[in-house]
Amino acid sequence: MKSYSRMLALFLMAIGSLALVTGCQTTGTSHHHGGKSHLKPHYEGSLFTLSKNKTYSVEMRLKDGPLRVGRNRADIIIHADDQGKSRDVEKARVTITPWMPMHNHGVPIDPVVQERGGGLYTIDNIDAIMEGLWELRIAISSKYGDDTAVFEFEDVKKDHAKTGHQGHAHMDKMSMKDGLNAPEGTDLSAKKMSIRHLYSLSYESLVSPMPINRIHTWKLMIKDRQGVPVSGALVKIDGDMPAHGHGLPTRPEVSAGDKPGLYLVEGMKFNMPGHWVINFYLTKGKETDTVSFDLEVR
Amino acid sequence: MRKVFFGILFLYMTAQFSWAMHPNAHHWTEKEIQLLKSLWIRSLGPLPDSPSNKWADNHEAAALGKKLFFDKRLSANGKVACATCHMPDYNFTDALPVAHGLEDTTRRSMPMAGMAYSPWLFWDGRADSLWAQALGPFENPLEHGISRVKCLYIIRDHYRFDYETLFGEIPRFSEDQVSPLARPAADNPKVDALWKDIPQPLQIKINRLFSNIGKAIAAYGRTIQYGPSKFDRYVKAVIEEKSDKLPEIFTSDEAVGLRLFIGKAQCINCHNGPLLTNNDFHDVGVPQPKGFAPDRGRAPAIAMVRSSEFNCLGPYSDAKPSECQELRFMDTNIAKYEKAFKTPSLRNVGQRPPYMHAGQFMTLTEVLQFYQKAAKETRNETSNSLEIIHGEISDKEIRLLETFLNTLNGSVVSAQ
Repeated sequence: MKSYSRMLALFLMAIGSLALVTGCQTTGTSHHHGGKSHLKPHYEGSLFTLSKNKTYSVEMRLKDGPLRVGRNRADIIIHADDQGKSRDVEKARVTITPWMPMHNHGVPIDPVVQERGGGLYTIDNIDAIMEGLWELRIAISSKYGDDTAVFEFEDVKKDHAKTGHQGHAHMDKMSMKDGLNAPEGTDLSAKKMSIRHLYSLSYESLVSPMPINRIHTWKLMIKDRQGVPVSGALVKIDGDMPAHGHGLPTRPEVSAGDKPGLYLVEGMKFNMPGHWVINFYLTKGKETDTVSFDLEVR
Repeated sequence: MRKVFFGILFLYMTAQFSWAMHPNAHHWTEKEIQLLKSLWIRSLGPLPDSPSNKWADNHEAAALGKKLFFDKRLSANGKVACATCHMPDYNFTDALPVAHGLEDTTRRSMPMAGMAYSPWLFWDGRADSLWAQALGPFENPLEHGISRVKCLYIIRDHYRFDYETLFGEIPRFSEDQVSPLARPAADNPKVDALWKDIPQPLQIKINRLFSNIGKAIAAYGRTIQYGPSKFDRYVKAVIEEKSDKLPEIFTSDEAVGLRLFIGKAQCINCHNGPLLTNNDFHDVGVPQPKGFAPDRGRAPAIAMVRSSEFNCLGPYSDAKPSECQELRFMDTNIAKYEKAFKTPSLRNVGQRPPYMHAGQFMTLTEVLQFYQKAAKETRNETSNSLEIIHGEISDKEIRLLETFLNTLNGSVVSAQ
């Protein structure tokens, strides 16, 4: 059983790296952008392109692995070149249209775009409804102007392991019988470094043990690499149950607490026991960063 | 004699065979016991507070609410009470596919037991309290079909003492001054105009009385609860490690059905907690009945509950804003909730067909077969039912699941 699931994982990873390569090649861009500072990707292995009129650089990170049939999620980071300086593009109107150029059709459900600050936008509900060649067409409108960018995905495949509400169900059928446990080896610690290693975050529920079906508050501590508390960050949150594909039943809010580096996360609610993933999106000045906590609610 | 012997031998062999099919039917791992305990009725805890209704736990309010609940005068034709669709001897719902008040509605009556534990009421959750929910049907032209002003006149004429003892004086005006038809009505410009003619301070008084009617009914509604079932006795024995008792409570088929429920069939993904519901909304892809208009479910209800004057943050709520956490942190992702309906409790589910939001299925078997088929289609990607993640279920397993579901049947208790 185990070796099968491992093989499946390897296979998916292989497909994943393939899709990353095709994503870049077919968009005609590369990671060697040279010169201008706004042409640098933030994430390793992310997709990257310039908008048609070179107004914006757009970096895309697919959150659930390569684009697959079914619902997908992505982060995009948009930068603009402002007289040689790279600027985070905020308050932009961003629309994403999944498109099948060979079939000349889109999808019935629009993706949901949410701004997270610092040029970061999260996209839910990218619903690739069939196999084949797909484009994600992105229209951006901000004070820097209107422009469009396209990411192309040559060979979108079915992924039977993916289903569920928001598409963020990376359901491993082999390991997931009850969804109660995180996959073996998952880091369940309540203190983690952010993806870009800018911050260390730790959380603590004010109600212990973590309650089910009850709204409660978390304390979140943010420090920088030197251990100095970080106040004044803009923090957004979302969450997910990877095995089941439904997000949090509430929309929690993060606000500043009464101590340096302390934040309150209000409106947390878990409506079933099991493995949950909580993502925090941080913006402080021009820097953005993300951290994901895995936890098992009992 | 020989026939009898072979008969007995055959029966014995069958029994042995059935046991051999499920050798460990009553053995539960530590993790499974945790899950079973999470479904146990004793894990439910006391009734949650209802901060928006300060009469929620007032016995006199519940007594008045009970009278109102059964009063058919609170309807346009004098024949419809709350109890018409929420029948006490039928799990506080009815046996019809869709509720029928004055006319057919488009959704099934919801069973009321345990609803005080739910943050959202109605199939689409367009009310955020029992009292706000109780008000909806009165002014629905398909249900009670009367107005809040008419409610006031009925209270004045039949419940003056009870009402005024609890809530204070009933506003004094007569039918000549305010039409009994007047109500805020998007569906009917004529009665809407009558409502708009009423001076605002008086509107507020009328709304206050109307909300108090809801609060009294909610005080009664809160008392409607599920009693323990055979399943709960089984879980108790599991927790108390009385393994010899287990086969006396559950047949091995029932135990195997339970194992499917919490395991392979993944029913527990949504039907969890002691009421076997996650109180959330999901699109399981049940088709609308023939001739029915599409139903968007939760999606449009998000704006409705947010703008309702009778919500937790509204002027008729008794809650402090800080006590309205569910409303404040409500997930407003409309795309996520398109065609999504509330996960119903599975307690007593075998006692109250038909099933689903518009009574699409007459039997539990049909429901389970629907999930079986939908799960198959989801695996083959031919269906849009994105929320169905049930395992691959055989016909036999459907029968076992149904056998287990019937162990969830128990009593319903309410205030006398």
